[in-house]
Amino acid sequence: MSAHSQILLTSSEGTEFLIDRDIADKSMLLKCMLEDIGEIGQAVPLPNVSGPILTKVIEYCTHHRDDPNFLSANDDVTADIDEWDLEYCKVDQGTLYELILAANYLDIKPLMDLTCKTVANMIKAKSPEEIRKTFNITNDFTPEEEDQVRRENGKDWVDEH
Amino acid sequence: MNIPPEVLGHIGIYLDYKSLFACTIVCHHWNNVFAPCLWNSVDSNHPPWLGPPFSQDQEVNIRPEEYTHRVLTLVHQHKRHIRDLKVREERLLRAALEADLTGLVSLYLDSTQFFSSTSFNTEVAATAALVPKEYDELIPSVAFCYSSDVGGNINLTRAYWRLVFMNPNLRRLVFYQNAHAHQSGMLVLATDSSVGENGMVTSVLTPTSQGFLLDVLSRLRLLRHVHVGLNADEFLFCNLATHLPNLKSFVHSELVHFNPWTVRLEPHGNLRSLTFTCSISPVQLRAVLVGFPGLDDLTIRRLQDRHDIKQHVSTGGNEDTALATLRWGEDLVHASLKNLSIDEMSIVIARRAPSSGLLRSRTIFPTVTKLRATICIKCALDLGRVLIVLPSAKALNLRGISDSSMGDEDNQETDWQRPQFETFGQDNNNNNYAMVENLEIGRIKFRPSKAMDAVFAQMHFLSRLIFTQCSLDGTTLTALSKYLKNLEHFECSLDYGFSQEFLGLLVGCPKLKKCIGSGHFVLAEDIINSPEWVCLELEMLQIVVVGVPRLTEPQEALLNRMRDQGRPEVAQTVEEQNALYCRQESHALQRKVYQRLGRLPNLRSMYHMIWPYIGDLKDSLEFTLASGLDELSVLDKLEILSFTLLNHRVGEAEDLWMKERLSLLRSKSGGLWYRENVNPL
Repeated sequence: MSAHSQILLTSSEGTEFLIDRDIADKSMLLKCMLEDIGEIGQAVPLPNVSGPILTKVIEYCTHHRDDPNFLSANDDVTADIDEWDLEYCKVDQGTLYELILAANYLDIKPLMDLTCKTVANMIKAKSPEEIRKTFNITNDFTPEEEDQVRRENGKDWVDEH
Repeated sequence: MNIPPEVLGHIGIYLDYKSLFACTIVCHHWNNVFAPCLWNSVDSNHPPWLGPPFSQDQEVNIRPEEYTHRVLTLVHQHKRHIRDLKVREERLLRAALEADLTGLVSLYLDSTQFFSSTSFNTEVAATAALVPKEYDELIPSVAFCYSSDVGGNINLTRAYWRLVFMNPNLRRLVFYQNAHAHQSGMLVLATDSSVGENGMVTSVLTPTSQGFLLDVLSRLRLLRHVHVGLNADEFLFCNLATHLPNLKSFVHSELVHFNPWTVRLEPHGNLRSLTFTCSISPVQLRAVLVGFPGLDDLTIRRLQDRHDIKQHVSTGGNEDTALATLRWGEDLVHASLKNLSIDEMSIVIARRAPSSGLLRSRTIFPTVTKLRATICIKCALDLGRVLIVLPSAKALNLRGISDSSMGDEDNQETDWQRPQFETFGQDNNNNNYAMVENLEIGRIKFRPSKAMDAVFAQMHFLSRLIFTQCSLDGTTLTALSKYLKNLEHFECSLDYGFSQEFLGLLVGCPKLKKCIGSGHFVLAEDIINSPEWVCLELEMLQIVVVGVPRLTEPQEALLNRMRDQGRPEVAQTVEEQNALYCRQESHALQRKVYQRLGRLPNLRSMYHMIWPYIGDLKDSLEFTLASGLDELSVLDKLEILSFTLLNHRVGEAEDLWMKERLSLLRSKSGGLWYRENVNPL
């Protein structure tokens, strides 16, 4: 395998992407696949990932191409997100969700951690009502049910004291 | 967009308790996903328990029964989610048993705060009732120690072990225990005293307690991390290979006296992480490293130079003999360790301590990159030995032991001289460099030595070098400027007399940014004649320019009179002419000094003259426009200029010039000028 070998990927709409092997290897899914079946010279179809999202994913992997700590990059739950990554995640919610799904599907752990962390930051310090607004979720609890959940999780206890 | 539950659950990892709670209220779907996250880990110190509710720092007016009821209900309701339990409080233990928690993967016990509730006795009675009769044999009371100096309660202790028996899938088992076992609410395992062949008294587990422990462990097949105390640590540690062959991580939790004769261990290839809080000796360190060839992380809170073995042994061999038989040819190489954290014991008596315990273990750690350690070294040459031992470590912190001011010639240990050590720096192959980037050295006396040259030649990648309370010599300084081409930060205090050697750093280290410390005396002549300075990135410089020719007092008087008579530059006598000439000479020389300083384009702060103040420096640089201060006006990044302890008053013209040309304000105390937005301190 030469260092410069390239891999062809096909997004859900059929757009083709030619990327370097080391970029593809950032995805555990692609890495294992390529190791198992070898480079067959044919395009690898990714029916779950759209072209724009695949572009975004490739951008991430390319930026972190030579990162020696790639796999442990976002391991620290409490660590701050680095500047480039922060900028990278400034996308609309739809894109962010699709990135999470793509990272999950392609098995790119640091991207998964990064995007989930970003969503977590959108949740932090918000009330349930604010969270519903942010994520456009309808409250399907009756007031009695909501009370019940609060009690079950010990919240009334915390609030009182 | 619908996020699949497993992805949503992943987000939960990054949320605190409050946010998780809010998430459970959002909608049914989110409740289903986040309630398990919320209840995955239960700690009696955290919500919803808020710690022992009757502790003094919290004013919680809940009746004990109400609180107990609450804990029992919540644990019962969420028992299927609870995987990780941290018990610091007897009611949670009771609740866990009552709810029949069986899905735990991690169990943590801190029983030092037991007895905190007013209803303690009721709780214990209720808890004891939860240990059925059939456990009498499994958890025999006699396995535990009843002596009066240990607190603890047999019912709670048995209840706790019952919980362990109920959870055969435990991966982590942690007993938090401080050095004062009697404060703990749990009983420790019973021990017997045993007198060895060598006359040493050790305590060993009784057959019953040993059998009990082995029985427990044989049921915990998935156990990967153990943090024990309870008298069990040494027995367990020495038998890990037999009883816990799959263990990944082990912590010695008590400040036990590690048996000095434990120097041979069954090899255990799976252990990755090991922490000692007790003291171990160099020989034991070797044994541990041989015994655990797969270690990634090793933490030793107290590494003794040698075990204080004479305290235990009256006759027979001692550790000195064992160490004396080790030669460099018998180095042990540990090829897997990556993180090493060592605190060398500072209480060793220097006279009796031949050297660092780490060095004396004769072990080489080629793969250690992360080092958190203070290593005691005896002499400057030990620095080179540390480089051999830790060639890949990026940061080193070395400290001389109390009276380590001895020079290398006093060092008796000639067997340290290894071939590699002598060929340091003579190999052009980069692979031969030590990886150290950050080096801090304290309390060592450097004396001229050929070997020092070789040592610093190794440190090609060094970028930060700090000497504290060290005494440096010219040879060492010259070696620094010769080899440290990547040095950015240099900090040291010098004695008088290393003018050229100090300037050598500015000539030799192209990346230097900070050069700070006291006693950086340099002669004006040396500055002027110094080869071109390469350190164009230099931002911070502490320097004392001396050797400036100054006028005699009569000459000063003459020149003052001429100025008063309105003819400052017109000499009428030979004396006046001479005085005028001397002043011109001095000013010309000083201007050249200022010119050189003005050629450091990135200079942000310059401190001229700092402690130690030695006597009255009559021959230091003047702070006047006439002597060339205005040559600094090219330094447009200058933010701080300090001329402390000037030997003359600062003129108004100079002060105004500083304000106008460099926008620097003068501090109240005098000799310090700084930019408004910069804190000079």
